Amino acid sequence: MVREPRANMLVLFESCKDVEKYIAEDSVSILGLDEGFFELCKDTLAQIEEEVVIIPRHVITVDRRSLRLAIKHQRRFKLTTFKPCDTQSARVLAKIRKSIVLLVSPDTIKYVDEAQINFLKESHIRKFLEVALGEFIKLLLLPSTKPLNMSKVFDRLGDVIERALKFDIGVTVAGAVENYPRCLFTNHIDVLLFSMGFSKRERRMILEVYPLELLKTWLGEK
Amino acid sequence: MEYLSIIAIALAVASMLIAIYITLSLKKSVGVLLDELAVALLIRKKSRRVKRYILLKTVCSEDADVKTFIRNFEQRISKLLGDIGRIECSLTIASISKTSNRMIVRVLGDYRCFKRVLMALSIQHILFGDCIAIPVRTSGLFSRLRKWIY
Repeated sequence: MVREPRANMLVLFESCKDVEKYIAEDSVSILGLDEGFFELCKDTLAQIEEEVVIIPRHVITVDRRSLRLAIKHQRRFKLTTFKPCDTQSARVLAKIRKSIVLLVSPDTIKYVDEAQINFLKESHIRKFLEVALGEFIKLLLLPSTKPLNMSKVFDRLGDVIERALKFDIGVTVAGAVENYPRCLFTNHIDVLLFSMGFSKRERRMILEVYPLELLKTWLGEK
Repeated sequence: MEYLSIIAIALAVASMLIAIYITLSLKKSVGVLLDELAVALLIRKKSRRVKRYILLKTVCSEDADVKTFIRNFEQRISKLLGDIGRIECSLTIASISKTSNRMIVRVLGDYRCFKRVLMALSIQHILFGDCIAIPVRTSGLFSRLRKWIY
């Protein structure tokens, strides 16, 4: 089967075999793995025959105090995503003269909202958003989540992605769910975006074009 | 002669009144009928049933059985669709290939059903575990998907 240039920016598996299985079954061509896990599975991953780009990933939770330090000590051999804990850190991240990736998850959607997109738009350096779709889906399946809250969160997420696409801010998706059978394949991500009302072109931008651009930007920086 | 002319005028006035009355009542009846027709058309449009086919690839973990998954497949999706979704959307397995672990599912319902079923298919494994159903292709014609199943 021909591999489509699709990307799943972060998967959180527990064993190297799971990664092998995932790559064998999915038509993914860019896959992000947690930095520590990437080091652990380096040898196994080298034996994979499929043409896949595997990226070491690191997610840093930042607040207004730890932000400067986190940016200063950001290592370049791994692709770092910033998870802002407050509005101030999110705004500072938008203004930084550096290409960065911001995480959009149920915890950060309060800070990475439509206003944040306006700040990102005004930045002179290209910024990217990474949507942790797996976390949103987990929230959907939790019995304790109220349907109204769920609807609000998905509505807000849809607005954020739509606005980002409108202003040509890079949007990538990570199906970050823990173990192998309970993970999101790129086809699932595509279907979920379709269910949220995104067109074929928009889905292609999210799954193929922007991840490739992010990869190029990261490699260029490196 | 005078009487005759008075009777003729009275008859003419009466016929005019009857004509006006009939026209008004007819207009009212036609209006009601048109409204009914519009409502019927709107309802018809809303509940227009669409048939779509989805080609799925099933991937199961080592300790899971594909046969059990296929047997419980409709129940799983129905559980995610909910009671109202189950009434609105009909879901049936149209064809299964045991060699390639692929199957074609028929979705019958209004235009929202297809999206709902696709979403349910994409998240069912996160809730139930064991087997993953990956939507590969969709089409309105069964014949178009049949060539991809083997």
